[in-house]
Amino acid sequence: MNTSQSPIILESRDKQRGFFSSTNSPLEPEQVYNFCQNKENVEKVLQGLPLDLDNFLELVLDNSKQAGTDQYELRWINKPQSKFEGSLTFYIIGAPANRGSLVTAIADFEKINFKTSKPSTLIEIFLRRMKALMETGEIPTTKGQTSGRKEHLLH
Amino acid sequence: MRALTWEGKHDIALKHVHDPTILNPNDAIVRVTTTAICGSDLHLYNGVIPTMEKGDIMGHETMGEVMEVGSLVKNVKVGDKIVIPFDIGCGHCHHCQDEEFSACDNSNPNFVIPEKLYGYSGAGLFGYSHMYGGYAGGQAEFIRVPFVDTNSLVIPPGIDDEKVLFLSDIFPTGYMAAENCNIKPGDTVAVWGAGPVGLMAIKSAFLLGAERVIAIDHFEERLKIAQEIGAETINFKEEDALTEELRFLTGGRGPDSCIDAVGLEAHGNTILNAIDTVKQKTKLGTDRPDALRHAIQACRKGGTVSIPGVYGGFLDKFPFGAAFGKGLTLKMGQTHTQKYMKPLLERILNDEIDPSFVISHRFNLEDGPEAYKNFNEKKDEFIKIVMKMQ
Repeated sequence: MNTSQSPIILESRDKQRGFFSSTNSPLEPEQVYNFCQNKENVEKVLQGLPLDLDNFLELVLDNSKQAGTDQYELRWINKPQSKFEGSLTFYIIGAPANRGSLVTAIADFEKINFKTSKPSTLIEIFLRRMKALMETGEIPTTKGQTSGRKEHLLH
Repeated sequence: MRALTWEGKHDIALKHVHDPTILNPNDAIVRVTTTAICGSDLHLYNGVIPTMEKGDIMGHETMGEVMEVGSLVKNVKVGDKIVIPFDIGCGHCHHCQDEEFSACDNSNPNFVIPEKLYGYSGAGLFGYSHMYGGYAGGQAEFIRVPFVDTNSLVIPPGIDDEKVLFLSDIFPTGYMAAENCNIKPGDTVAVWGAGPVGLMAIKSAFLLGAERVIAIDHFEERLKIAQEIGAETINFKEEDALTEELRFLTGGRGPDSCIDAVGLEAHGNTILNAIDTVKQKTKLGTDRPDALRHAIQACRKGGTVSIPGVYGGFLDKFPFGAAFGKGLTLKMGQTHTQKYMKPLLERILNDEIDPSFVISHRFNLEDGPEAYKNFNEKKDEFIKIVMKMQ
């Protein structure tokens, strides 16, 4: 599959007004899709990010569908009547040349307190934490250890 | 517990710090029995590797006894004696599956920093700056080992630590450097730097079939060991025309492969190296690649330059034209240690090599700060220091 011809990605990038990041996973698109549909997984990845998460972890699955062969789309939104509106959208397609999956995440939140990290960096970190959890069953960390008093990129 | 910590440039201290704990389900806690100071630790000591922080625990050549394991650990059990590779692989990502462990996608939680510098991030490393994950090192009484199923080699009982400790880094590093040369019978390999990695590269080159190895250094005690293990030697400070000398020694053709086991803090006697030194000290430059320049210049046409020496930033006056003009192959990078540990253990058990020949000094952990100082100043014929836990 040639990703540059993928309507799902072109459309999402044209329309998105938030921040996006893409990564590869050796897992199959369907496996990634199933993982992203699990609220517990998404919340686990969000925890630990330097965000003001009050009223944030009220995610509800707004849209979840297979958009074509090896193409999936799903969107988590913040619960209606929350302090702020927002969405976290995943586009998952088969990567070219049997390279597993290309996963794109788009964060579109308003009024969120991003503290000192740039939103574009945060979505990148979010996606990589998700990739690690999905592939290994854990999110690598050094937090709290003598040489890991803080995780640099998050500050 | 007690640990050797980085307190600033040229300042290593023995400190009491909190014991590590299990943070993730694939972790293990290991009681360190033996650890070593690596030449690349001196890059941290000299302050040329960025993102170190006061209090960081040093050390990435470590072995010990497993004390505790996380809930998902399968292959390692409490009581096992393990050697811990310096690079941390998750064991699951594309690169780990391809045995490119030092390119692991998942083990560096601080991947953003190297990605900005290098495009993609390599693996997390033990005790080697926050850019590489900020993982606590092994010059301590205990160490936490993430993804321990991937990042361990269980050692059979009854084997002396000193025989297997260097499977954690310098033996696989020297071996991969030699393997990258694609050595054919009859080949001549030139090795810049007869420190521990260089000496392991010399041994490995012979194991892989090299007919001749020429070691280049300026410390006589290192050249003496190189000679003892079969290499011919050149003291570059006594040689005005190194390339010409190597050409002469190789029948006018040049070495088939050249290994740069020096890295970013070369001690060359050239004008370019003097300029590199000034630039590095004034932060106008990052690396002093004098050995690499020589290796590229001296290598035969169509040969290979293999680079296990560490580089961090931007190389000035890099003779890329020479590399292109001669059609050289350049191979480099952090070692995929996990790939080599088991086969190299077999070579040790078969008595093909005893890597402990590089050890020059044995200390306890409390001697660490002084050992760093003397190692850096190359006093008292310091070549390789191991520290035993009492």
